[in-house]
Amino acid sequence: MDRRGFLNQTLLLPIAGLMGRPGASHSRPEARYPDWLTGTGLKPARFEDFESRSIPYPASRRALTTSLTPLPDAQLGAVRAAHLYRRAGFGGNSAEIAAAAALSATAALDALLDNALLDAAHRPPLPANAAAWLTVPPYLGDDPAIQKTQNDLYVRAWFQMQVHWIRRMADPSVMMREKLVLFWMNHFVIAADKVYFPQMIFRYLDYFRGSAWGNFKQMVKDVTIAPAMLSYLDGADSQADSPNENYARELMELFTLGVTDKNGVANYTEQDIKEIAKALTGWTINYEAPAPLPLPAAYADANHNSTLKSPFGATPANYGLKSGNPALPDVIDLLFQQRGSQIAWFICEELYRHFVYQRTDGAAERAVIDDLAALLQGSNWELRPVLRALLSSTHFHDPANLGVQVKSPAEYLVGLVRHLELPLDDFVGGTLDYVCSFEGMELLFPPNVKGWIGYRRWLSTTTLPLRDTVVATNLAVGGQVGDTFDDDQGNHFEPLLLGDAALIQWAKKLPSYHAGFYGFLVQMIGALCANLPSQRVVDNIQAKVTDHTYEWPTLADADRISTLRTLLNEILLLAEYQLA
Amino acid sequence: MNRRDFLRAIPLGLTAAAAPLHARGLSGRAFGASPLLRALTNSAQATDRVLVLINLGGGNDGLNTLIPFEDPLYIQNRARTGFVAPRDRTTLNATLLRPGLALNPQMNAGPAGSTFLDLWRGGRMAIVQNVGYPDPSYSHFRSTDIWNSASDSNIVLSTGWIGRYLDTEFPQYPLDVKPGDDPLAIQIDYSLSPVFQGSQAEMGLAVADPTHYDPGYLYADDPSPDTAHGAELAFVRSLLLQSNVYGNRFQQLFASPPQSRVEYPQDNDLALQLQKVAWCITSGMKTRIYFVSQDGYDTHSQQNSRTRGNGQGELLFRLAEAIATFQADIDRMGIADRVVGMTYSEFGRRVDDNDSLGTDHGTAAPSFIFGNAINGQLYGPNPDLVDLNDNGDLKWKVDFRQLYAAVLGDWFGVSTELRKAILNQPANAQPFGVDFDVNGCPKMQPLFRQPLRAGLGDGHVTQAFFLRGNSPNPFRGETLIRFDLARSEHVTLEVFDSRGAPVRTLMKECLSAGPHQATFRGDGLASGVYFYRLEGETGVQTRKMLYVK
Repeated sequence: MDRRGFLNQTLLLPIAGLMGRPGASHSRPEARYPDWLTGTGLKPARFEDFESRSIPYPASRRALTTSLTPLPDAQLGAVRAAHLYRRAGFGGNSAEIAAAAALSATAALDALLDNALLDAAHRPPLPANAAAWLTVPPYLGDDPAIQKTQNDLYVRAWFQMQVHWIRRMADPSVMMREKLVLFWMNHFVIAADKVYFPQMIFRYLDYFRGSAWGNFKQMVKDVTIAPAMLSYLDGADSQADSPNENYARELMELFTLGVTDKNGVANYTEQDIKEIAKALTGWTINYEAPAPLPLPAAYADANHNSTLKSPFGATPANYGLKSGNPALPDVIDLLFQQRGSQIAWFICEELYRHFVYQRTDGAAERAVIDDLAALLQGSNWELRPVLRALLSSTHFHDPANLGVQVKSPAEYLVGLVRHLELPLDDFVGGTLDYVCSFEGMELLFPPNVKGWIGYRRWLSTTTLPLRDTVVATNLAVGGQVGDTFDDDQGNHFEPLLLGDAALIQWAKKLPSYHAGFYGFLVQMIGALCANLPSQRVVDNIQAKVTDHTYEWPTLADADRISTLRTLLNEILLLAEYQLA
Repeated sequence: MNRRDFLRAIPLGLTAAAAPLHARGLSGRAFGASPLLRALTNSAQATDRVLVLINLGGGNDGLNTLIPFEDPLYIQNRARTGFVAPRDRTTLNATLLRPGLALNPQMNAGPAGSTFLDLWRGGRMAIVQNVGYPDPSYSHFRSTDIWNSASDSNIVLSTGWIGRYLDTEFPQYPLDVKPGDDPLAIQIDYSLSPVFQGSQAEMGLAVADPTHYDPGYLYADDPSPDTAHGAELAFVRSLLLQSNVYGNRFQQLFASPPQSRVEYPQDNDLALQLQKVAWCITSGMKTRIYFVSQDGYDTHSQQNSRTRGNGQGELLFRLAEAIATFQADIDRMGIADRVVGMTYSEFGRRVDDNDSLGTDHGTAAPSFIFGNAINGQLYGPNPDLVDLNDNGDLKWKVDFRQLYAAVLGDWFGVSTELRKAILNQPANAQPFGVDFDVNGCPKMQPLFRQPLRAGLGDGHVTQAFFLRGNSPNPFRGETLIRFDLARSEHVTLEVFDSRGAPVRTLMKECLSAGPHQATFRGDGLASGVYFYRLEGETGVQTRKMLYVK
């Protein structure tokens, strides 16, 4: 099958996730490690730790700057600006990088933060067709025909939310916010196949847009009673006399604490889980609520377990959630009071892994995380100062932190759109969404409550050639990915296009377009990759178009197209391009 | 890149990303440096036995696959979707099931099942009834994960059972991939099932068509700097190298278009997937595990079990047609003795059919296992439609991990300890057919005609020259190496280090037929990978073990 046929084929395959149904019963996911791993004495604290432990710690990082003070340089420069745009967003185009390069590290970051304020001007248009599902009650009747229609509508809504999200990731005014949304959605995980109702899923997703760098403690309180979370981790089914422990366990293991603290000391006991599960009872989802706010969370004191609880050995009291009953001492407040330093370290480590480097077992990384954790606690759980310090710091901009992240499928695909300034509407977004799913990242459908493990798991002998085949070779060689296509749910797909005129226009933005070939080639690589490859690789790329190099400055635009496509193909297939 | 460049590049390209599990003691990694090492690693696959997994996606309705047509409760519950209508029982029974495949006096495999007739009559088709697991999940995703990871239903595992199995056989994979290697497992698809996820890497390769595989390859051999960026580059490049290795291998194996010995139906996608599997096996590829799939079993409405053309009926026809064609092909290829296939689906469907002429998510369902090596028969009691669970679903009678245990233990010869470890030691993981004994049913014969069993206690006479996986592995202190001899012969059991240098000779003597064992102590050795080789007059086999100080 040729490449076009290949992509057509992928488009014809159904999204793996589109098969859910309401009321599906789920067992409680629980992280445990197989005996065959732990029984050999190679016991991982977490699976991710096990993975990173097997990777040698690079010696060069021992000399890493650990300073969180802002990079002092008056001007960031293009390389660091591009680094910031890749990490805090989904990559920058020539104009954006040029503008940011002239600013200080702090000013460049603030421009990303400030642009993304959720004022009316930046409030996004809702997903296509949202009016049909966002505000309507979940059940319109028992008639199977109506339910079938409703189900079809919801399944389409999942897809529309995915496309909407991808388009926002590519939007420079909100891309940093969406980068954080992606982070939080993979931290406070829900999955659309279980939550099912798009009314709840979209409100949950949209919540993180408003709170992307808000207050972490408030975020935990809000997530705890978010309808989507009450559904996903069974809080809505938890009864006063038999509390469901699913959320209480994940609240500590995955959302706030981790099993152990940074020194390997257990953060909580099974008894703590039971006590907190009791305290969280009383909340459910109101399936009867009318438009325009269907499926809200609802609290009933009658279903709250009002016994005395003593999580973390605290003085026994009728802990609950103040959001439900203001008279109750709040169990989330207690959690943050009892385990504040552990929570701060845990979440700062996650942020560090996501935005800087996946390995946190080196002294330099741990020192930085220590400082971030102190900052987070000192700012009373406000995230903005932490992110601001980290992403403008001398440490973040240390050359040793360039190109050390593996691009997720979303980073890779949205990055292509941003780097190459490809047009993106809902129909092209649909194509991106499909490709993203095939790369192992179906948005809104993380594999389980731990979310995507990410990092090196994004790439394999399967997904890496798929990236090359589906995207790089199509876009670079043929100028487009996919064909116009309509699926059986009425969704329309358009190819991802890089036409000749657009390619020339893009290349002309590189300052050396009219200068010598070699300088142009290096600039082109620099515009796309975090790190330049070795001299040998650059020479090899040049050798691919050797006939043209001497006459390059004199070539007409039209005569440069095939060379530009060859170069683009070579560069997009580099291992360097897979890294951010 | 030529072969010379490749070999030169590896130490540079891979050292930064290498050395999992063994921070020291394994300094001399040099692939291809020693002819002996090459020989050792080339023969690391100790068996040429092949497993083909056939996934039926969406949840296949077991009750309309194997039909309890005499059961009044079946007739009553399946008034809308069943093979037997309540009011016209005799007529429909006769007309609809006449072309079907009678399995026993109460069960009929329906018209599609008659496609299996040759396999069934030849005793090469095992059908295991009521396969499921405790505390079932009704979510496609979760239940699929449970089957793939072989976990208890309340435990989330990040790895798949095949991935863990291959981890134990190939602890260094993917860092030890070298030119000429074959993929450890192949899925005929665009993306890889989680069943192949190992602890460190995906242990399989998804390839839609091995005769047209498009590898990534550019500059895969460029050295990577010793920085964090360099470590990630080396990782990406190791993947590029692997896909390049496999791409080259496929090109070599399929230089001339492969031929099938039978005509495969061109409109049957599953059959075409199996055709590619047959090409791979007959090409000489040493890959032992294949994965193919057929989707569409999520028949909530318009299930149409009885008829061809659409719905479950058509799916089952295609399944049967694909299996029968594949089996005929490998029969003629002369490789049928070493290939078995097994179907699985995330769940069966609700006993009571729904208002949309379909069925909702259920629990236990039958599994088909076929091949020359299979003791063909209908296993297990017929579905019990009286004693249902709270949700109105069948109770499982055979845990799916018993089938996995039989495959691992009896087909691949994995030791009992290792098998239990791979399957995470669930309560219900004794190999199917060994000790299985339910509700007064007679003790069954094993699923495999010639099981490879560890130890004497199993009471089966081994018939092969066979070096088993050592146990434990990885190991501290000491590990036990077991092997079987088909006849009395003179053998040498020798241990080599990762460079292929001999470390110790454990046995060099004349032994009788039957099982034998030797203990290997790691005292005085560095942590790392070691090979052990059994050499006799009737065969040579080598395996790897990992010593952890």
